[in-house]
Amino acid sequence: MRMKGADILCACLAREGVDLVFGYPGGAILPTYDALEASGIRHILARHEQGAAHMADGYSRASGRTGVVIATSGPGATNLVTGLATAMMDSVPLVAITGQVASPLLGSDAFQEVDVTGVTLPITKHNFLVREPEGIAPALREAFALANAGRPGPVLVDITKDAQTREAVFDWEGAEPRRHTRHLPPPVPEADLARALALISASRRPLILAGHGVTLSGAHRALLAFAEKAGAPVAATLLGLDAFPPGHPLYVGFMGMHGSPWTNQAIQEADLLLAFGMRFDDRVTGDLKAFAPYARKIHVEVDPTEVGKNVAVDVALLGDLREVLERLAPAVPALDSGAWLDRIAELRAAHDAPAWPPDPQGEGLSPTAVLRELSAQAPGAIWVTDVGQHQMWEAQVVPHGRPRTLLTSGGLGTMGFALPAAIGAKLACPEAEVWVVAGDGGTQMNVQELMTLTQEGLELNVAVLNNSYLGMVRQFQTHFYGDRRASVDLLAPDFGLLARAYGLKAASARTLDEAREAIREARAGGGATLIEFVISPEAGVYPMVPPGAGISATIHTPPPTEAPCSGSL
Amino acid sequence: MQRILVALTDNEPGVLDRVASIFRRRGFNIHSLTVSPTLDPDVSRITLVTDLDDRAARAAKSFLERLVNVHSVEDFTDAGPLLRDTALIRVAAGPADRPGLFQLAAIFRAEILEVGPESAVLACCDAPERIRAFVESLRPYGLLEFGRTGVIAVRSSGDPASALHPAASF
Ligand SMILES: Cc1ncc(C[n+]2csc(CCOP(=O)(O)OP(=O)(O)O)c2C)c(N)n1
Repeated sequence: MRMKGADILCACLAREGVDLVFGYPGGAILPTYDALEASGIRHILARHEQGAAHMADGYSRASGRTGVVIATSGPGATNLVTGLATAMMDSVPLVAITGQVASPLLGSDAFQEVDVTGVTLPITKHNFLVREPEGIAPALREAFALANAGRPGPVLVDITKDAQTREAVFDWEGAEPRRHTRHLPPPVPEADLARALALISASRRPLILAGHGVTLSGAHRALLAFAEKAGAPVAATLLGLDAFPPGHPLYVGFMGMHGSPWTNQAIQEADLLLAFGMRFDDRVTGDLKAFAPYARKIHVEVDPTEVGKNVAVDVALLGDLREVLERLAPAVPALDSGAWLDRIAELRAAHDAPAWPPDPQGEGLSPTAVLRELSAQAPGAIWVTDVGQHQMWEAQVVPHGRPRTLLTSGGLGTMGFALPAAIGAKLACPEAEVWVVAGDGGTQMNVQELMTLTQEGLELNVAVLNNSYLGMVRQFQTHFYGDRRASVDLLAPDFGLLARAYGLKAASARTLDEAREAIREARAGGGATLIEFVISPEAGVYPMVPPGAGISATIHTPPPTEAPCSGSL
Repeated sequence: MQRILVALTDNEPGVLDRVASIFRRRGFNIHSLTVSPTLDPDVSRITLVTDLDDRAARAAKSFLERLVNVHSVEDFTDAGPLLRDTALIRVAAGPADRPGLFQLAAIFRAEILEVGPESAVLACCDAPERIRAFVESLRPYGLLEFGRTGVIAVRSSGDPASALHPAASF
């Protein structure tokens, strides 16, 4: 059947099972918006394309479905850049569709022309420039397939305006995707599994490091079964915090820069690390030379480029984590790890006071106390955090454990992520309770999306931890720049007035009692609420491993030092 | 250490950019880069010469392999590949210089493309070291212009290892 390119595009989206997209219109994508209107696909109008990209990202992270974002050419497309890079770093499957100037104008510096495939080359898994209506279906099908194949990620399809308006035959079958299978690892050879099993059998102090790959491959049950059968304890990266039940006797906690000292110490004392869907990010390993000196390493990973990239491994099992775990679990022996678990319990006992981490010192409302209260009142919520101190406090304090219940920008550390991502998450999971946890800095970065929230009538709540600082930067300055506070003193608007201006309810809390009450009222419903928690400005995130130091070099308290540091935020 | 990577890729716009980006981003220099279509018009063959240590070369290879447009990549370095590079050289040479020049050309199996009153153009297709030697021997005449294609590589016929891609490495 002959159809306009824009209709072909919408027909492809529908066949891919897409019923919800995020975006912002403009001239070069108008034919597609016109077709969308008739297609029955719901469109969420963001207030900024960056917001739309994070919405599609949050939608994908919360649901496991591919998020779709649409933008116009030029400035619309460049506004997607941060959202695409965020999704790329955290392996989130996303399809971005951008309009492009008409094909005869390509390369002429036409109005609103930007070389979008060039701009997004390093921050997408792949991208396409489509100049013919015939090319739309093949590019779109390949884009969806690629976004989800192997290690997921964002794929961009840039479509010229004339390709959207001209007609072509819509041939769905003829557009079957082929390239996405090109680099999928073949099934893990038995011999490699046997080598891994031999290492595991010989281990007395094994430790599983669970990363985002657990969620991405749907391996939660397989991980639990494997860990329980082997009797191997489990530590989690930031994006792996919802990979394993936090109350489980084998759970060792959050590792890395702001992880618990016993978790990091366990890594240092382990004789075998089982890295499951994690990539030895420098926020996790600290100084590589000092990392896990006694441990053999088994890396289960779908992306071959990650194997041996940062840390040399003894056995690499290349493939889908769930498949590998399901093959390994039946053969894995019950290890004699009792003494090791006792040792970890002993390490933990030295720190694990009734409230861990201890509330930060300083005057005023404690951020960790607020987060404890929040998670006590909303135990089953989806938490969407921004970037900064609040993100780390949240990771330390709130128990996650059900898959897809902690959404955060781990790899890129994108401020302004939380609010739009939470909007996407709420649309993906309308029944779920969704909480944004953000700082006063990050809240001001994509605050305009509060209006999107109101327009869509979404009930999710926003917790702003206001310390009147770019807190995490201030903490780095305190420790590594002689407490010189360059440009971190941040004026914020009256968040209550602001929230009301955007159509939300608002509350402010300066004491724990007020906090408790505000949370209770927000949860009672009747619309979205923004709660400003006026927290202690000087509170810090502890423990902390200085960037570039070994993960045993934990700082527990805030005495300012002037150690030079090459870290970045 | 000099590395020779050979990749088969889709023959479509932008592929070279993606390949070169892998090297640019990591600060790896490229000494020579040649691209041409194979007998399959949809497939290009890229020969890349760089100097990378083992670890970097492995990383470069696997990052290249991750590109959707790349079919396969092989490190030919240890396979004793046959290498050819073509140079076109214009040297300052008047009529009196011609006998010497012709002799040199014969030694290096170079072709004399043109002679003029004050210069001559020679072509040499050979292994990169031989081309270097040829150029050195021409230097005393005065090199006026010099262009080189960059290296192409194939496995030696004694190498039993499999070809790059059954359908496309002719
Ligand atoms: C887009 C972006 N710009 C800058 C940074 C660097 N950065 C990391 S944390 C931080 C401070 C965040 O301040 P705030 O949002 O108030 O949160 P807090 O740390 O106070 O909890 C900054 C500026 C970043 N991660 N992202």
